[in-house]
Amino acid sequence: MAGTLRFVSAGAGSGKTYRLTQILHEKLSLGQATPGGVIAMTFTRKAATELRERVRTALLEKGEFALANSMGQARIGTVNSVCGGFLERFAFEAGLAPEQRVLEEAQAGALVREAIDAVSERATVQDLVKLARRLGIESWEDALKSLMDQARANDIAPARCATFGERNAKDLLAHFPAPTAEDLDALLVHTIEIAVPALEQRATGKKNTREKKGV
Amino acid sequence: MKVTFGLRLDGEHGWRPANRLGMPVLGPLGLLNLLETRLGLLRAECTQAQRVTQYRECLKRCDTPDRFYHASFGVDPIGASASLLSWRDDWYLHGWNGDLPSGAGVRIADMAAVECNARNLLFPSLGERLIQVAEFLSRQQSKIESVELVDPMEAFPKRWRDVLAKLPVRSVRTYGPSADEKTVLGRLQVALKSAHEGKKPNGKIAWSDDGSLRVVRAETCLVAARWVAQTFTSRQEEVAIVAGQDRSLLDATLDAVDIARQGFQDSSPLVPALQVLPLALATVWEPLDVYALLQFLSHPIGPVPGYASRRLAEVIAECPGIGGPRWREVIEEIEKLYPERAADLRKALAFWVEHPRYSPSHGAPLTVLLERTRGVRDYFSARFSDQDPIQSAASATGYRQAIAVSAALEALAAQGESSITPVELEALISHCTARGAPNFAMQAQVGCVPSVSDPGALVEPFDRVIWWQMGAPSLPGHYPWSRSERDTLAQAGVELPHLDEVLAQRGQDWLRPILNTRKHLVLVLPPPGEEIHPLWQEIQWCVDGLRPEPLEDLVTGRAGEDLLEVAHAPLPRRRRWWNLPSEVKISIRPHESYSSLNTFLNAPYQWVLKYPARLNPSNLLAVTDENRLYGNLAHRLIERFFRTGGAQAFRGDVLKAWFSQQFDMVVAEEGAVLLMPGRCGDYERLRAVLGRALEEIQRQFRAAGVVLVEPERDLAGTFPGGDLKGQADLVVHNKSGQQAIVDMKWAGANSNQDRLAKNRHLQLAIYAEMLRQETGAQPQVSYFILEGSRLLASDTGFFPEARVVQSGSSGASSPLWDQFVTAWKWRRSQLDAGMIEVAVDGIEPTPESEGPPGALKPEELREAYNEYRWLAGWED
Repeated sequence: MAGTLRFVSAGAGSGKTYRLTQILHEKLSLGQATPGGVIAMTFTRKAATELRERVRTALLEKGEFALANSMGQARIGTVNSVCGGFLERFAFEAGLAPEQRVLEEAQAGALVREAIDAVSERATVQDLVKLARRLGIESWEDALKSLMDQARANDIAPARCATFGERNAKDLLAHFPAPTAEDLDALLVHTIEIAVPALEQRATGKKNTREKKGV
Repeated sequence: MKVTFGLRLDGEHGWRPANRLGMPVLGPLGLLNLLETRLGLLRAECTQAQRVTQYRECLKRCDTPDRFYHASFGVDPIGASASLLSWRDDWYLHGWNGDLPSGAGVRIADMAAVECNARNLLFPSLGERLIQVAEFLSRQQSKIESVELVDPMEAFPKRWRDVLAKLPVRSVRTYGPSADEKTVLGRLQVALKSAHEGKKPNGKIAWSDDGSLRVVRAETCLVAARWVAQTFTSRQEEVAIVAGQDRSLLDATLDAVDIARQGFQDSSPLVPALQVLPLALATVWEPLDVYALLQFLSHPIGPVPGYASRRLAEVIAECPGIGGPRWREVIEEIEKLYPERAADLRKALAFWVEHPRYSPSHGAPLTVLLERTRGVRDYFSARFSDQDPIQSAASATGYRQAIAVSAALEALAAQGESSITPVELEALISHCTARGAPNFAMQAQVGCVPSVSDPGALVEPFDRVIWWQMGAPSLPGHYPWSRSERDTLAQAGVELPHLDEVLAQRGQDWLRPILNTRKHLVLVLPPPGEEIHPLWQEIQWCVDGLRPEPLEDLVTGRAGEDLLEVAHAPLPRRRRWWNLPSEVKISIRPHESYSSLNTFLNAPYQWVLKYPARLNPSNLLAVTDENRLYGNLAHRLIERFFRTGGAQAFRGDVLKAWFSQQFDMVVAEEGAVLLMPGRCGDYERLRAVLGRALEEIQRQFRAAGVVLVEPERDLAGTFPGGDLKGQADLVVHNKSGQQAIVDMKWAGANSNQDRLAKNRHLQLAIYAEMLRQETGAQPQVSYFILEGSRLLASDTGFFPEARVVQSGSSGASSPLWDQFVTAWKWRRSQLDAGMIEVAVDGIEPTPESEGPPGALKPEELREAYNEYRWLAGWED
């Protein structure tokens, strides 16, 4: 298996898990893999449970009771549980607390807010509150968390992420005309003053037409 | 003395009760204790938390930036210490003697370096105690006549094998099939035994229901428990139970049908007595943890006297903060009720609630934490003598926890530490609490049968074995050391068993309940969707055609007669009208308020439940927050503003300075939840909104020529139903002597605008009528929407700058008042006739739902605010 990467891609219910158990049985019974060397990750607990059960059943079907029992060593679980296990296993190498906990969504949101508080000056928060009001953003903290989640999911380093703001602003401003010294408020008012009577006249005309038709 | 000894027997009862004087059945902790007692090696106990603290000191002394644990220790000293201590203890149990093996890598070399300190500072581990026992046994008699092992010798760790080598081990128990070999169970026992001995299975067993093996499964554990309870005593057999998961549910169900409780208690660190100390210590940090304080004060156990704590908890929930007007009022009220206890109460509050708080980054002084911990200890020790054994046991649990935390804090202080951070303190408490305590109300009763939580502890055959919730077991984890580290450890004498061997032994353990069943084996599987036990998969493979019986079929009587029929008792259906018996009359209340009248008119059933029936939800369920809190704080701030002499003349910097100081004070006293970590954005948003609102109110009042403002103005009046009372947010007077009522709302610009437009502003109309009755003049009415800084009025008669809302009707309050009076009389006549309308979404109105001409039409109140919606009945 060393050095090879094999993709098994197929639609739901087409037999991916079955194929996986076949591969596992083959490799385990030939001694090309050991139960302790198996890592299998799924997105849900249900899928992890099913995979564990099906791998065991497949081995039992072949009469491999001892091997089925040894599958307790295999790391088969959700992404959270398997990766969480590795984080704990290598906590000292990574300089982390040895006991790791998976955060619930709500806890994660609360912690992001605490982190924002910890790194933000009061004046910065006040500026952000003002800016969010002008832009009609209800919760700038949620917007920031969403940005952080996207950056993390796409492995975008904080330094690179920081340059996006300027780039986005430039892209947006490219759609606008160059700044002008002209009094645009006055121009708008003037245009409205011209437009309103014209619109009223048109509306009256239509009404008259309708009335005539009604007759 | 004849000892039976097994690895999994501590705390278990997998053998028959008998006259066993001089023949104890012991697990590792039991035998070690026995040997130490006999050999004169007993010493003062040391909790694991104290050992963690001691090891922390060892790690600290050796800590340099190049130590492998340096970074993790910096992040979580207690957690890292606990983790590395468990490594060390494991190594000792399996043969380590603390020496640095040759060729050791960084981690093992570091551990050996730490060990130089640990030898002097650390209370010995199980492995070290076993070394000492083995040494003493070499020269001293244990007076043990024989030892029978219920597990194979190779399953014991090295240090136990060393001890057992010095004891008279006469036999090792083995397990084989015990059922009639002609039954399905008997053949299954042979097949499984053979498979676990490494032999290839010899074909499958054809399933036939001969009664020896029964496998059941229910959609819920409760149904399964009811079935087990029902069938539990149906046969006169020796029964044993294996119950690892959801065992307390089974016990509660047995208890409910008058079968002796088995004492299946799941320990929990959250039993009430164990919550007191963590909560008492969680409130020492700056800023105040409002949620922890609410829990501390509302907890039924705690050092703040019960006659005060609940009422103060209500204040914290309603106006989160300490020292505000409501807080002071309630303390004064309590002192009036209990004048003889006033001094004690003040003292208790000063110590437990109104004390100094400390910065989490700098840590809290150990002396302060010790003082509080000892306070909790003293509180519990005073309750040991409680007549109720359950309360007494709970107090003992809380006392032990406080003693353990005190000891750990004292150890830190002795190591020269002066303070501790919240993370460290939390970890320390967690280690002192460990798995917690069981539910003391669920102790085992006379008549309980042998039972185990670990299948490996069922070491004798029984006629009937019930394996409750045969779900996925917890499996041994991987070693946290690399292969080369394990090789080095092996050179140093550490005989760590290979994981394959550990798993094979677990497999043998699981077999014991199966092999130890003589006649009837009952396997209760967990509900569908939950992971099943690997052994069940093996059984399923061995017995062709074996399927779990769905217990629901048994419940519904479709199969067998195992369960008693339970009569169907449907929940009450939803009906538009409730009818009171003729003898029940609901009298008129001494005085009415707007909120009561609004509910009375629009949702009579809610009114009946809330007022005459006094059925109200607890006000301790949550800390007031978000819009409700913001509204409360706004009201308080604006009230303070208009009570401040000359405030109306404040402008510019003077206004800003006043606002800044008062806003901070109001939030600290009644909105402290906004000072908690993560709430800075909300705090600043509120500050900005209220700053704008106050400026706008001032601008509007200036434009209206307001000369007098009465905040929170008490109002009183009468109506055909008796007296009316209320409190207007602001009553204002202009130079011409006209008056207006301003009702402040946090949000809801559209809905309040709609109320004015549709002439349904009942609250303002009632307030206006009360003021009219008092002064003789009809006041103008308006809403001020705080979030949008918007004043809404039906005309500009009083407030020239208000946003005018064109009313469909005349807009004056009097017709609305008349409509209200007509509607009230109509609803009252219905109530007098015993008719109560259940006006909720989903039940069609009837002709009786329509009011008489001229009555204010009922409106649907928002379902989200209906606390009684589940009492309106249930759909079919």
